[in-house]
Amino acid sequence: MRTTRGALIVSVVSVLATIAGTAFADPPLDLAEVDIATLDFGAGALGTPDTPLGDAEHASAEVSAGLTGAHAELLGLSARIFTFRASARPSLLTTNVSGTLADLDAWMIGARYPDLSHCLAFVSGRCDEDTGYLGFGGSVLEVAGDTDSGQVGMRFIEGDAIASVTPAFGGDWRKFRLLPRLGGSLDMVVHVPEETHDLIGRITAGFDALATGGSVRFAPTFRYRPSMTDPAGDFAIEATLSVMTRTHWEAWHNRDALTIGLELAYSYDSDPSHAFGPDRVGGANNSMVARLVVSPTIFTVGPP
Amino acid sequence: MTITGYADLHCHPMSHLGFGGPRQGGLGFFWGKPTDPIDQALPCCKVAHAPLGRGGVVPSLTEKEQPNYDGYDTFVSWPRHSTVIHQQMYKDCVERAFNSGLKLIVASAVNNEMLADLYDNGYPVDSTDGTSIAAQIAGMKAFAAQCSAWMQIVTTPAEARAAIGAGKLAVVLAIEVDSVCGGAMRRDGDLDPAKTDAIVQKYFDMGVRLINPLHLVDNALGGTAIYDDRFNLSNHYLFAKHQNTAAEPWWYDAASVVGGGDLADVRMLLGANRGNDALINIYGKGYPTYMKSLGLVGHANTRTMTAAGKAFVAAMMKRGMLVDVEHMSSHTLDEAMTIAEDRTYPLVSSHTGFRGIAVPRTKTGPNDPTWVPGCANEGMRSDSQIKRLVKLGSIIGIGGHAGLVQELKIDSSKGWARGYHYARSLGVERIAIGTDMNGFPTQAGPRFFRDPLTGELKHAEATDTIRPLKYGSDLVPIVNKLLTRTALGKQSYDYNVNGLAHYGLLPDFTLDVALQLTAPDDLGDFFQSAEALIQVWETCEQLAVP
Repeated sequence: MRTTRGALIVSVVSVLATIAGTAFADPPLDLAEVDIATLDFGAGALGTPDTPLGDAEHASAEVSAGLTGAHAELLGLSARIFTFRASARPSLLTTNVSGTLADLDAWMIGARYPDLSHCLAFVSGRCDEDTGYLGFGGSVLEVAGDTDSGQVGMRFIEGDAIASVTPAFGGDWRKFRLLPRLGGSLDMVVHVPEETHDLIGRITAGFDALATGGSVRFAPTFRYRPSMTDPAGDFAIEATLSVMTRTHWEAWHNRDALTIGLELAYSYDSDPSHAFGPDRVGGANNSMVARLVVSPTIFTVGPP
Repeated sequence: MTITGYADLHCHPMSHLGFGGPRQGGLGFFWGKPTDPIDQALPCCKVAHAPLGRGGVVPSLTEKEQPNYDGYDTFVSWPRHSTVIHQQMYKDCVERAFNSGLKLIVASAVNNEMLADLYDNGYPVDSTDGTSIAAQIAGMKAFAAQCSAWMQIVTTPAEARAAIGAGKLAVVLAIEVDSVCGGAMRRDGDLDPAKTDAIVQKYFDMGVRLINPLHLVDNALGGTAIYDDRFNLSNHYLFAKHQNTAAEPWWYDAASVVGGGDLADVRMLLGANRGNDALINIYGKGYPTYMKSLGLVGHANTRTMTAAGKAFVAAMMKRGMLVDVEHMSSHTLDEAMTIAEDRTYPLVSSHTGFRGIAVPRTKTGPNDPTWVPGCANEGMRSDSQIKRLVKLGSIIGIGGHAGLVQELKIDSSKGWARGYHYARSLGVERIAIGTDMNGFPTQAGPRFFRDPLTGELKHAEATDTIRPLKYGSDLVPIVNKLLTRTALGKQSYDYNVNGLAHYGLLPDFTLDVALQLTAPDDLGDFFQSAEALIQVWETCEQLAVP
């Protein structure tokens, strides 16, 4: 019986592998991505399972629009410059506005030659494929605020040390990666009506991951952000999953990138008065969001 | 009757029909046609090459262009000696070379599927080598028909003699592509040797009489000579395109050169040329760690000629075709020469350089980053390879791009003259030029620049003492006509400061080389090179199996 079941499993796995091998074969032109001016249109819902305050709603539909100035996805480097998104949540009677000046998912350090000369990922700087296990990431000037709560959060700077489980300059890095990270940020939450603010140093721990099947990308992230001064009483947990596919449309060229997908996010803020981010329900501990996103790029450098 | 005049063993008059050919909206990766009225054949290329245009960024990564992209009628931007994606063989240029001593050309169909597919932001196009070959062979026949008063395609050495005797330029049709047997034919075992005869026959029936079995990547016939990381990207890309599930490696299977033999003097290292970093990064697949240590000597291909490759070469020899060994890896070339030696069959090395005079790379370390332009690579001929080829009665074409050699800092005709001298010192008598015009390599640059203050010509190379060409008083060799400046549109070309900007400047180039050679190293053998190639071909024909 066990033998039969084992053979069946092997057969099923074998068939699935064959199908995957065919369906998920790499496209021959799978170049590094550099997108200039990507619009971002989303529709979905946001809500909280928490008991609402007063007669406030638990959830709302959401429509959003945004822009990413530039996005580069090379071996060993994933970065965005100037991201902005405005999300209207009518049932919650609020609009969330968020943006980041520069967001560095990962900038990995490799070696030009294994025995010499460390180098950073960059368009004109190549590192060898067996290298790139360490790097750094973070963000500069991240801002998010709600119109109803009057609570505006700013992350002036975040700096993280990043490890890569696989070499960042190896050919698979743009398809499969797991990047544990540890660092810290300097945040400030402004309570506009009260004209007060709290300055908070936070530790950041978590990971970014990416798995690719054909043209579909699964990108989970996780962050644990305890306050440096009160880690037990003031912490945030953020988990996201994006499932995206990349195709093309005609904007500047006839083959500019068009990204379509689903974004899921969950966050827990132990102290909602210190919470901020694009996907928070004001005053809630738990926030959840799901949205479909269509992101047409105006100018893609190279084929999409 | 002995023919006086020279042969160009390697050029690409129909490049505009390669690389996916002309696209909708007038786009084209390789820009400009050799025929048609000049305003229509060589117009401004901005629509096709500007980085923000529909053609995408690949042209600007391939060649640094002038901001105006002009063409006709100022020709300020191109053609110039450093161009690689603009027409340099306009019919008037070819005719001028013909009228000044050029008697025979080998017109080779060329292609690069990766560049074709990258161009136009990856817009789908039939870029396969087979389609490209058919288009270019048909195009060359149409070109010859249009210029039938002075040009003729020849398929036998007797036809070549007759055509030249009738006052025409003899044109031998040829093929130089990455996958001459088809895109999926990438490795030993992919191609049944028994099928090679039909493939060769197909090309023979098209009128092709010379083939490079290898070009810039490995294929089912053998290994390629390694000399540029960019072509390693092509090697990988063709697997991704045609054999997506094939077992690795898709990259060059290279090894560091150790010990003696033909490869002892190779100094080129894969992964060392930082000029290729941007393309490698954009390709985005990682790049093999060829550079295990800065102390490495050089890289060469471990692949040799396959069973299918041996059958392919034998099928060519059976038909008396010219076998061009250029681009073969050292091991593949060794096999080709062994096959040829079995029947004393002369070969063609159509556009090569010489490791013996290559630019030395002596230092290693971060301040001398192991990459020196012109350093010895597998694509150049070693002394021992030259001697084996000479023993077979082969003909050697020195590449028009072979100008950067030891002790010279400028790529100019001086390097070619040095190569000619060196080849003769190794006993080469059948010696020609292989311009590779309209191909990827740049051409010989000028020996002079004009002083911006005085307007006087000044040597670009400090050690150069040879005088410039004197238009209006110098005589073109062989034909003994007064050398005059040639023009395209409003652009008048002075070889002294323009170099070999287009094919019509070949007479100027040959005179410039002649100025640098003295007896017994004069250009006598070179000016007999059309005869030499025909003699090689006649020997091949005699050894053909009926």
